[in-house]
Amino acid sequence: MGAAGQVLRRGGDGAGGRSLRRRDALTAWLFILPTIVGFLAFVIGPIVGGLALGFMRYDLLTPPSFVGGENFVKMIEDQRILQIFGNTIYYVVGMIALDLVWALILAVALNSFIPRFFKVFFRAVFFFPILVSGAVISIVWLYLFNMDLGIINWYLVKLGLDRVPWLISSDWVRNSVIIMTVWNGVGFNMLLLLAGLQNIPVELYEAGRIDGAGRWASFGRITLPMLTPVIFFILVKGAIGVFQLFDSPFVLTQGGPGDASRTVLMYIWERGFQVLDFGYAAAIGLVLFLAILAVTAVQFATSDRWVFYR
Amino acid sequence: MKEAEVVASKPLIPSGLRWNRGYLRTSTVLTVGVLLLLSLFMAFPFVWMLSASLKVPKTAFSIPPQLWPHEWRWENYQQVLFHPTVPIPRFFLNSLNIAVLVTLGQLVTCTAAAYAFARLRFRGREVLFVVLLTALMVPAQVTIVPLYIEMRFFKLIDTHAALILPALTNIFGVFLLRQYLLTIPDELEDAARMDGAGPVRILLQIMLPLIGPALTTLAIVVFTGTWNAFFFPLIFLNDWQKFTWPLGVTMLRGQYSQNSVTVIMAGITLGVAPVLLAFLVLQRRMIESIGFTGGIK
Repeated sequence: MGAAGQVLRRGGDGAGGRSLRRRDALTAWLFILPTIVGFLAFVIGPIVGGLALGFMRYDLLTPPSFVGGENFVKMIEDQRILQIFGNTIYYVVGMIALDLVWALILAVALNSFIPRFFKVFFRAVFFFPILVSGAVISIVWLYLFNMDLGIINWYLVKLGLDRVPWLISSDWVRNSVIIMTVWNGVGFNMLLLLAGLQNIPVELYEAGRIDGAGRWASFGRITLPMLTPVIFFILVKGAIGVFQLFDSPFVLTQGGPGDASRTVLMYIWERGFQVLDFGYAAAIGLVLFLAILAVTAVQFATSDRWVFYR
Repeated sequence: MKEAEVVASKPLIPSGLRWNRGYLRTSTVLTVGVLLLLSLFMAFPFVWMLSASLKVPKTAFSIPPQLWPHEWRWENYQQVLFHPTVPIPRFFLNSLNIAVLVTLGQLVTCTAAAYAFARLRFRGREVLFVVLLTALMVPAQVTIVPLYIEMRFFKLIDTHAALILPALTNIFGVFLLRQYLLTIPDELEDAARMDGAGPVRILLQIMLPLIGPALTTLAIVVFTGTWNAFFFPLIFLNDWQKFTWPLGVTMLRGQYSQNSVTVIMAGITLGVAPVLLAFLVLQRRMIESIGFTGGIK
């Protein structure tokens, strides 16, 4: 920082400096004002409102009334809640695992020694699905997944395998949602991992080679440990995202068959906007929020055991 | 393969070494082959969509599947563009309108706030910034019920304003631009101050040109995110005429309209095509943008 700037910005001495500083502060508050208004109105407001609403009964038509912990008792007694939260946890684990493995395969393959033209081409193909709305492209998958007419099953039969009841079997449907959603989003984590791979110093591999490390050893002992910060980021961001899964199961399955593929957010939508039980919906939202916070906290608390920071 | 060759063709040596013909080896061919298979899988839904959008309805599911239509039905596109009940062009305009306003709004509010947090001094700056950052921890979907009631209170249900207003600022955008502004050397600003320039002029004339790449990044991320949004339009909009493209196009196969799969695919292709075109033109920029935003921790 230049000496002149020091004087000017710190205010230094004299009335000129002070008024300048005051002008800076005033400008700053004006510049931040829209963001603060938005923050209060659309982040803090809804959080406070949600906290209150969780303890109320409200159907939009009659004024809200305080009911204490009734909504939470109802949640415990609700036969569907366990299945729906179970589905969501299944999605969180399944999607993150598949996404991580898939993205890692793509990133490692892209990072290998192939002509530059292929790299650019493949990267574009793997990345493109991210840019397309998950809800919309789910319609296409709906036809691909069709049990009798779908092209996926046609190829499976061609390969001598059995038809898979992708969307109509309670046992399969969650996996189908996982496959479609990961296909849609895998390019993002692929890019992150690719950047992570390119940041690993070549010297590490050279040193490993001198010590006699083979291909797999250097992958396990050098590549993976060096990628753990990226993987940690993917786990945290992935869990927060998948806990709020809505679009793809909403279009692919509408939560069915039964509740077999319904997510918590879909249930909030149903209880609130279909049945108009807004207090109950808000209470489920609170529990979901706490679940996200808890999982994120656990992830951070356990991270120093396996995340390798340089 | 001899040991020396294995080492030479070893993957994982991205930097420093340039590809040349001498390195053509089995493992390279194998890798390209595997990548080709993977990319076929990644691209397949789009290929099928395009193919179905050009078919005669009764051949859409013909066995064996034919990806190359025997008879090209361009009328599918005509049919979906001038659909009697589903106004697809209207959906496009709505989505465009919302996405442009949200993007412009965020560019203005985020730049202003980021500049204040990065380069202006005022009491409580650090504390306020940390408080705002907590917004990144609260997913908006989780507070959808109280947000809906708030919007209803302001009589904004079934208006585009319900989608635009909450999205006019974005703490993530402030964070992104602030990181960028922090890297600009003080000397530039000090020189301008010596010449008597105020904060507004410094922001517009000195900072803005320097943070161009960050602004592009933010614009691309916000625009595509808003364009593709499904959940919030589903919650807040009731009137068909106000639907956004993702919401409207899913209605093509709703209970109110008996459309053949070929017409539905034409509708989807119409929406995916501009994205693909934009991607082909801006590919590097877009990939960098998305990768960049994810890379920030």
